Amino acid sequence: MVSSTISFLVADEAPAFSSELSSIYNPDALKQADKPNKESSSAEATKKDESKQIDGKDVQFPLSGEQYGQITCDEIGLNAPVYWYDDDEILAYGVGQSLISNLPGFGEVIILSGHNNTFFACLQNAAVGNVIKFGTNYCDYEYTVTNVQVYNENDLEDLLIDKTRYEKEELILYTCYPFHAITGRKTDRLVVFADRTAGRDVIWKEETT
Amino acid sequence: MKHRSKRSASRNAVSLVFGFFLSLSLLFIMILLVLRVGIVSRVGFVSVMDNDYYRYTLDYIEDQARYYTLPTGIDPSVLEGVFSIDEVRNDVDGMLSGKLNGSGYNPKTDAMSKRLSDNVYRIFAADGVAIAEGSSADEIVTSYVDEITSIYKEAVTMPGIDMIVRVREEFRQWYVVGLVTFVALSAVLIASIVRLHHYKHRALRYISYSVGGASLMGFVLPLILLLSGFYKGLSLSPQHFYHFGVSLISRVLTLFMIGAGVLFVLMLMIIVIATRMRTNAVKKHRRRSS
Repeated sequence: MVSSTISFLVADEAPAFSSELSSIYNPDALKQADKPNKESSSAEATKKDESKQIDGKDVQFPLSGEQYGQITCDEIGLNAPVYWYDDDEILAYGVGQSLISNLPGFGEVIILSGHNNTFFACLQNAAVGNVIKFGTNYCDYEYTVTNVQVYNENDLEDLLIDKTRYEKEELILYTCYPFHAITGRKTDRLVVFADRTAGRDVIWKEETT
Repeated sequence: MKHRSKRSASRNAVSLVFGFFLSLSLLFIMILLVLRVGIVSRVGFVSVMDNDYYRYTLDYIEDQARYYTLPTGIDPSVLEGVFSIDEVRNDVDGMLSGKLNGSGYNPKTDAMSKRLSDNVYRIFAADGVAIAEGSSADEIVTSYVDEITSIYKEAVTMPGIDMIVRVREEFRQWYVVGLVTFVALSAVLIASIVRLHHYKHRALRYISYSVGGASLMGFVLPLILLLSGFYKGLSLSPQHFYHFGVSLISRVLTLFMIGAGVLFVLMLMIIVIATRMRTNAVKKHRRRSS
């Protein structure tokens, strides 16, 4: 009990107060993985290229506050790091992902939020048909915007916890609305919905013995 | 002969017991003095507040103000040039002095609030948003500036300072009582050891053991803690408070080692005196014998 109390009060290392958040995202990871391996046979390489699925075991899952991807959309000038979790500190450095959603490729909803005066200020220009690129270490995904709509924050909450929405992979980006207005606490949200149009599925493959 | 030897052995045993208590008593005196100089004295307390403390406090204020500003929809660039290290330094020192003296202190936030308010109006005007005086938008800006001001006031107040002041006052009350008690106890023990021995250099030898023991006890643990840096993993936050806590502990441990060093020198002096007394006693005894 004494040792657990001490370890609660005193950590093994000095705490890190760096304002930089950590990252597992490496934009060059996919390029490196695609480089031909001299030792592997050409048959194996062909098999890998043709594979449409990624094994879940090959996906590195982020910890809270870690950047695991980058989201971009040239048409509206979106370019933001994506962090796992979405508290005030994280949203000061990029866009944050709600923990009720999943990573890209898993066939479920991906919910990202950001501030309307920083990384998601550009969402005011979003339109149906815009292509949003979502880079991760295991695959580069593309999502095409299908709808842009303003919701009250309570309605949005109902919408996000609606289980039927989780039947297909959908990227949902939202931010406070309206933009450039002094309204005190904002109760409306601008929501951008996008369907996946490129990228590989992630599945949990059975281990063969 | 056997009877004399038995008396001598019991005298030595009693001297060792008294010496042990003298050692503890000296250690407690050292602890009280180190705490008095290192933590309780205003000079000792304030000397830990170095430039890093003010810089970390300023970083903390800027971060908190930014975290508050972003969800409001106000452009975070309104915070540029609002906070200054000199104002933070003055207000931190003023607040600390006010708390320690019990006189109170109100941070001077008028200039900071004015700069922030001007920035907000200027940036909204640049975006083509006019804010009429007395309008609801004006009230929102005022409440925003008030909130940032209270974030600033909270940050320049050292976390847990009220508890620290209470503990300090409590310590002050008991410090004199404790010091007088242990000094008196030490004097009684020294007198008792001296009285036990016919040859006073023998008494001094036991006293030197006690002083050496106190020196060792006050040296080893602080040295281990200082070298291991164990206390640097303390779960204190925010960063300026962590920096203050670690600096204070480091300073107190260093003071313990200095105190132990003083006791060590005292022990050496007692040994030198005891040796001289013994030499003189031997000479005297030889003169008498011849």
